[in-house]
Amino acid sequence: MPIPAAHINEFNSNQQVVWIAKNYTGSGSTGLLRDNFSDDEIVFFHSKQPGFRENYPGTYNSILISNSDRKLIHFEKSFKNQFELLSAYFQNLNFQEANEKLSSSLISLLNINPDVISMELTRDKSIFYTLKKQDYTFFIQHFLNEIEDDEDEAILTVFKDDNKLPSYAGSLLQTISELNTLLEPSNTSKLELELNELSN
Amino acid sequence: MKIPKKISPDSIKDSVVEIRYSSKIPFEVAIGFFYKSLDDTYNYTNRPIGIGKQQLTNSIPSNLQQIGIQIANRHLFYNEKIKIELLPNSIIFNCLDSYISWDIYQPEIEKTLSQITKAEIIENYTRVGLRYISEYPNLDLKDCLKFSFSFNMPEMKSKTYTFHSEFNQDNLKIILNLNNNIQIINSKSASQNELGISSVSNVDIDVIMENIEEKSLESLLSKIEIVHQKEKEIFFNLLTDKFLESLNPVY
Repeated sequence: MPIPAAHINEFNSNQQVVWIAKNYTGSGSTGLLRDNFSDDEIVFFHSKQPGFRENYPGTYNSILISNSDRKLIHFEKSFKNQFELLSAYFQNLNFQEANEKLSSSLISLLNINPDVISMELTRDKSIFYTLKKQDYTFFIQHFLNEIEDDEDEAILTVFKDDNKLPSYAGSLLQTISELNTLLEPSNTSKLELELNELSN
Repeated sequence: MKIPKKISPDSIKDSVVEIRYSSKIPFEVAIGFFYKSLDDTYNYTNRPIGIGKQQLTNSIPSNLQQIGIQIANRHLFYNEKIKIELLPNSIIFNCLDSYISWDIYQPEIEKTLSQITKAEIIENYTRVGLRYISEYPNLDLKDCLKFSFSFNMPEMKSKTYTFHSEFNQDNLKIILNLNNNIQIINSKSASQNELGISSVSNVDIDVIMENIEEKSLESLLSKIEIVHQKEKEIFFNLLTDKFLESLNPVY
């Protein structure tokens, strides 16, 4: 396994610089408790303070998500090119099916707003992601199951700084859930707020 | 004031053009017509909105972990230059990567609208909005804008501020957002094991033409042009002469 930081640099040498709002949680500013319960999935800085709730009266009030959409499109284009190159290894899976599987993992991973992310299709019929967020580096291998109705599986390898943490293997859903658990400890209050918002 | 045709670098982070419309049919049906009307140079993708399973599973017992709530999909089209998001009563354009200049961007918008119009499901175009966000890393706005504010404590010097103003001019609504020296983390530096804390300033200008009822594409395009001209006028009038000179203006 390569050294995480070196691996990240290798795959992201041309990646667009992404600005991330500094986490002000520790600054003690009034009102930060509310920020912690913000349901903004994508925190991307353009012209608003971190945690500021989206209530913009003008043109396109979802500007924060726009950058994440660009990444999604970039990876979809890249996936199409890679799939064409490796099509010989995917005889039981057509592009449409593979692309839907890509979406199931890629969208979930983009929703955690990684600092950097790379994606590669392998000859093992898997999608290999490398992500870095906060102090963590994640390597996720999403295996594209060719059997209809069978859930896809994945392996998660985690480093915190340069220290290896326990790996995880399971269904794709559970693996991404495990990754989320590492980044954001269980918070039932947040869930409650989200569900209340849905019911309103 | 003489308005430049081009500056370099342009520092434009986002260039959103939003066209609102009223539809003859429900959006759920309209999206199929839009899909059919756009040619093969456009790719379609969608993105779910809502609480995903992976978020719920953090907090609920394992026997309930299969719950996932998907409220709706966001519908995205893209080609090599731009992306288009279709929302109920709204079409939103943005550049796919860096800003491609109005000379290229405007024909792309026109081409898309021309194809969508042929679907004959748009009743009226009702609003045009154009919002450009420029981003200046490690730059204090006092060094580049004709803007200052003060209050009755002259000894106070504000290093970091956000400023929001809404005003009307020539029957256009203008929203100006300025952010000065906001602290951020540069993720590229962070990936190289450096903390990478830096600062960034933004100039966010949104020009909106509201309450219109345009049926023809030609009239709509001329309104987009008016809004774009106002956007440029506001932006270049904000810049100091010295800063504008440093941007290599081409007239």
